[in-house]
Amino acid sequence: MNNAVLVIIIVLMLGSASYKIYKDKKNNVKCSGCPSYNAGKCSLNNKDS
Amino acid sequence: MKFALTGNPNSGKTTLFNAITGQIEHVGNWPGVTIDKKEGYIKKSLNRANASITAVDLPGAYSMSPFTSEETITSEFVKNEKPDVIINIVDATNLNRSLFFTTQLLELGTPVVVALNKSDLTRKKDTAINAARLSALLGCPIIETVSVSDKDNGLEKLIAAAVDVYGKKQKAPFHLENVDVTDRKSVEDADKKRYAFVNDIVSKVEDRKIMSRTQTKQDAADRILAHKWLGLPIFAVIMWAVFSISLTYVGAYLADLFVGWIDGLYVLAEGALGENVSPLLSSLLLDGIIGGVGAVVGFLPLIMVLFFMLALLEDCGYMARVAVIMDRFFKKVGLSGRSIIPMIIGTGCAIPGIMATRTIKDERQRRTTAMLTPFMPCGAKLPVIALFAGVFFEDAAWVGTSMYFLAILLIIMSALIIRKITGEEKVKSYFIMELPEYRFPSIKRATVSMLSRGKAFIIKAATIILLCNALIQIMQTFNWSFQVVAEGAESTSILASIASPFAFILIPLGFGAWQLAAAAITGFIAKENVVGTLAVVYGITNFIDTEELALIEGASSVAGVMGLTSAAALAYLAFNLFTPPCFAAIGAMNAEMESKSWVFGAVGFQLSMGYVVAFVIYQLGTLIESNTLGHGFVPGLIGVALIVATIAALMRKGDRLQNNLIPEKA
Repeated sequence: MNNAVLVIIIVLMLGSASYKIYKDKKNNVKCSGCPSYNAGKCSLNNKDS
Repeated sequence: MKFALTGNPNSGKTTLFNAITGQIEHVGNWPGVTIDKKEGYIKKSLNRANASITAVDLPGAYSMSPFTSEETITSEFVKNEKPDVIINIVDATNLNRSLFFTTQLLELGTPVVVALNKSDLTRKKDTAINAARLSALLGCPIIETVSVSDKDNGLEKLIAAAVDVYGKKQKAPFHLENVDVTDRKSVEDADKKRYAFVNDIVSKVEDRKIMSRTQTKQDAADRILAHKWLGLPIFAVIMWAVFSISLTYVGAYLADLFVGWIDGLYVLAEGALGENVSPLLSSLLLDGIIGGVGAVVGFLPLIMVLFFMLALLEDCGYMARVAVIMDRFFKKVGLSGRSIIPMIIGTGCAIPGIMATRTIKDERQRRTTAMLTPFMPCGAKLPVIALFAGVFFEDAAWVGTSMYFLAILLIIMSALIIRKITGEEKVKSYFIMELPEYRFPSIKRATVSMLSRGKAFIIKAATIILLCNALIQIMQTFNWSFQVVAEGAESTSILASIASPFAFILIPLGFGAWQLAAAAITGFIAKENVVGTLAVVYGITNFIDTEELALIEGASSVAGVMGLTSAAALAYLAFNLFTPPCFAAIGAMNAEMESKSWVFGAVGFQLSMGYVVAFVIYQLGTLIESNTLGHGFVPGLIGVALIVATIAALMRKGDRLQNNLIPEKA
């Protein structure tokens, strides 16, 4: 494997992690990946807000 | 079409909602789990009409005259948002109480279908309910349901009945007019008339063999499990057993297998990279991302077993008894009986726990509960507990249990301090909570709960933890001139230079190394980061030994690398558990407290408590271990004295406020 491929892999990993956090924040998921509730979608997430 | 699911607390609304929509919202065998409305589409397999139907799960309510914020949500939704059909979930084991609310719903004019839920339990109690007669008396369809069952649960019939009544006008069998809701006497008289009507209906449809005054096995169990003095030691033994199974036996065995796979992945990635890649990039991927995330994920089996056990305890009805046991202590320090519920929810995650405080009407009690709920060890703190308990102590179970009880002790002490600081008089509070019946816990529900939490844990590890570990790896690789730091000169790295000033403050607590300070700081982003950061900064790819079936070589290897004594390790654990929670939880505190001064006060208070507790544990532990005081005792004592003096001054001010010696700010 060369450096370019490794950089792409790392950027992809970091990019997808950042995107998931950004998407959760945008969807008003208050606790991204909270271990208590379903798939990071807190069941107490206020759908009114 | 929109169907609203309403009913008394703990009648099984969310279980029914999950069953008809296929969602996996959190359920609990105790009242007050749902505090907000939730929506979902009804499953196609149950929806023969093939129409688009949304189900709205509403918080439990006893009446249309709301007393709590969640009852207000229910009452306002059915009155103002006009659902097409109301599905009223009635607890068949408590028909009298449930039908009071039903008769109020029938007055609204919206078509109502009654789901006579928990029908299986009535049969077990030799209680027969004539559903056809009840339907005729109420003037609405009655469908017997068992929402916890997969087969013959009556749900398809329920949805068909709801679709059938869509668009029809509902007639009320009982109607009260000219009730002055502002006059207490008028409301009480109206309620009495309604109860008389409900009692009359129940006497006609219910044939009950066991009367409520008859002492049952359930009552006998409660006399022991919720006993004034025995309740607490029994709770301690149960928690010890839970930690023992999850951290020492089953969980450790599964973790051993799991870590083997993570190690395999590491070796595979290392082989795939080869030797031609930049060592910096290779280190970022292997040590920062795979190593850091792997170290956290390695604890997943332990946590999943723990969550499974806690879900079983909740499902069998025991956690509701814990609320009753704790109520006695909480009342004495000015907390509401309702404060216990957010704290029990907080054992899973502090955020929903903090959000659940909105059910507390009194502002000071609500804010105090929101401030103290994060003291409970949440799921994110469990890897930290598992790591330190496993590495530094032979019997990990007692460490986990003692951290729970230390949290409860801190909450009680802190509530007392906060009451003094705010200058509030002690208000007698009454906590009335309906105790659910004991039942055999559902393995399926506990498994679903465990898997969903496990999945969420992996998501968190693959997002926040991954980013943080990558950043930590970069920050410890470079110095401020963006040159790679030489081996052995890690203390010149960006990370070390940021963490070192904090490490200095932590010397009196027994962990003055910059690595440990850095891990504690990243813990404010997410508590699991403490484990991930320790793995990255100490270059440990996993903390669990795959051959020894124990955390790496017990207390020798990892403990040696960290350079901590047992007392310092326990102090470090307490510091991470009792200092402010993650930023997301602080954000939730901000939302629920609705006061900047309370939020800043809360964060300052939590920092102070974490510091003082860690100082006491380290210094006292060192004194017991080696008959000498620990490092930095005198400066630490000065720091603790300053904290105590500040709190004492605030308490004195609160006392004066209570005695009206100083005017309260408007």
